Amino acid sequence: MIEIRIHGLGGQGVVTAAEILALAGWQFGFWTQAMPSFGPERTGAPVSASLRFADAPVLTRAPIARPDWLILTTDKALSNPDTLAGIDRRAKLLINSSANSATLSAKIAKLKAKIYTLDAKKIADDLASPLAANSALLGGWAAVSGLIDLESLQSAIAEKFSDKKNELIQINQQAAKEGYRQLYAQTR
Amino acid sequence: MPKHDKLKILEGSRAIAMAVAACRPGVVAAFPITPQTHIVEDLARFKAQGTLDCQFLRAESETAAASMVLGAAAAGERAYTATSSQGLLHMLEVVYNIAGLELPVVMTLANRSLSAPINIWNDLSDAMAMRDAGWLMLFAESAQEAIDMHIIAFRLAAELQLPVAVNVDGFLLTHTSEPACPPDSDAVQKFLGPKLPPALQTSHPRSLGTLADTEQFQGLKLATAAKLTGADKLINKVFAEYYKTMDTGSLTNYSSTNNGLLEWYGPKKAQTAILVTGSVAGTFKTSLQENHPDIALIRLKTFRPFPEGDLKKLCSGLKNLAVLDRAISNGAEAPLTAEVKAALYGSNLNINSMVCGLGGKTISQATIAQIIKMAAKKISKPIIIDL
Repeated sequence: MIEIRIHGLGGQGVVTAAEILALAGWQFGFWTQAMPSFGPERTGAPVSASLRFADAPVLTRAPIARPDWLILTTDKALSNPDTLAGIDRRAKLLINSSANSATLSAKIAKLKAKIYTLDAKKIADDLASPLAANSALLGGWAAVSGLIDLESLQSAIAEKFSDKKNELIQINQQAAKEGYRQLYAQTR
Repeated sequence: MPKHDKLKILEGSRAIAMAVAACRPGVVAAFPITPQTHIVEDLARFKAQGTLDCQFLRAESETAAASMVLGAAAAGERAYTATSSQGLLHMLEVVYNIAGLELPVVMTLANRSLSAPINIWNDLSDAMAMRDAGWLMLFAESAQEAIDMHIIAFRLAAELQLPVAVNVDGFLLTHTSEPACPPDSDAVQKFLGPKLPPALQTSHPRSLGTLADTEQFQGLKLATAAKLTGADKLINKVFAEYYKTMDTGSLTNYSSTNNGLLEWYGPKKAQTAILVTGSVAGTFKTSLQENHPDIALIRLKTFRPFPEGDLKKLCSGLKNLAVLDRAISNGAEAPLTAEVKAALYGSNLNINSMVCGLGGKTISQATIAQIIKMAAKKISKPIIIDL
């Protein structure tokens, strides 16, 4: 079982990102479970979601204590001590940040976990669609984790936003593709 | 792994809304409250999209919502509402009336703690606040079982002419996305059968909800209670028929160890078992599978009527039983433990009361390890698991 935790701030689409990954993982062939953990809706408050990819039905509903992957929709989430709970050298991090991974690694050096960064905000801004940053980040995660392919992610985006305009789906798919492209190049 | 074509990743609330829509209720009335809100939002969406043809009543309060479904059920409509926590407390007067009038309302209770202090997270305090009202009370473990139980609830409500509350853990189930099999509305209609004649109809005028004087009251109250107590056979029959005829993507089933009332999970000859209800059962199953293969799990699926006889039989080979209570009764023993003890009165079973998970407190593998460590000890007081 692969356990993933996504952290960010209220309003950034952390829960939606987890739901998209659950759809993508399912399409790719995993049993998936996405479990948000949030409180009364407050923009800017810490939000996280637990996500499981497994080869058999997942029964547990316990929050993820020791994630294999940590995805941060903003590097600001690092200032919340809960974000890094249960992270050790076996965990891998993907952070939406304009800083490079070396700068961030120095900041959280004691973790000894592998850190990837992607400037997902820039990808989304370049597409004139700031809300597509998470799609870029998930594209990047597909590339660095190798656990799902870009096609599954893009069809998950289409399914999740099926009641939205076609244009919005396409922009998010484009963002995912660009995030995938940037990190694929970096890790292969 | 069940990789059924029909399975889809659904948020628990969406799965429930799809099940309710497949039952084609005539009236849906609700007032929003976390963590129930997504369910009625989805039903409103289905109505707006034209896939659900019903009267969707946006009530000004929970009391109003409950009153609306009371009236609708009396007039012969399939009537549905959903609530949580303080919302249920607000409806409680009408909740008792619905049961006393023997009206077939179906309600989802997305379980949440009760104020004060205010807290929006999961426990079973709200369910315990309505346990004496006279409703059938079912508890679902997964999104799939929530679908199953809602469809079963409409059938049971109609056949028994009693209200049914389907309990689902707030957030843990309502907000979790996982594979489930969307119900086929035509198959559901076939399973539900034709609507029964309404309690109130102009062709046969009668009064509903009249005063019962001291000569009548006790008898009427006890007759309603007897109807609920005697429903266990019908519950099993309806669950069995449901799992025989409906496609659940092989995620849920009916068997000799998992009937409509209770599920036994784990080794047949276990000496120690833990009794739980709701979706935390999945967390326990995972933990037992991985770390405690000698311990069994008993999952209470039907809480009202309380399955006393079946529970006695299931516990007959046990030495220790730990009862998980996710609610308290201020000034007395935790409610589920008290009921289990009453049901098993006279047995030599060592029963321990474990209280945890209040207000959304995490039930982790460590919590379960602690419960198992204490389960075989003889402790007269409730054990509070606080990790």
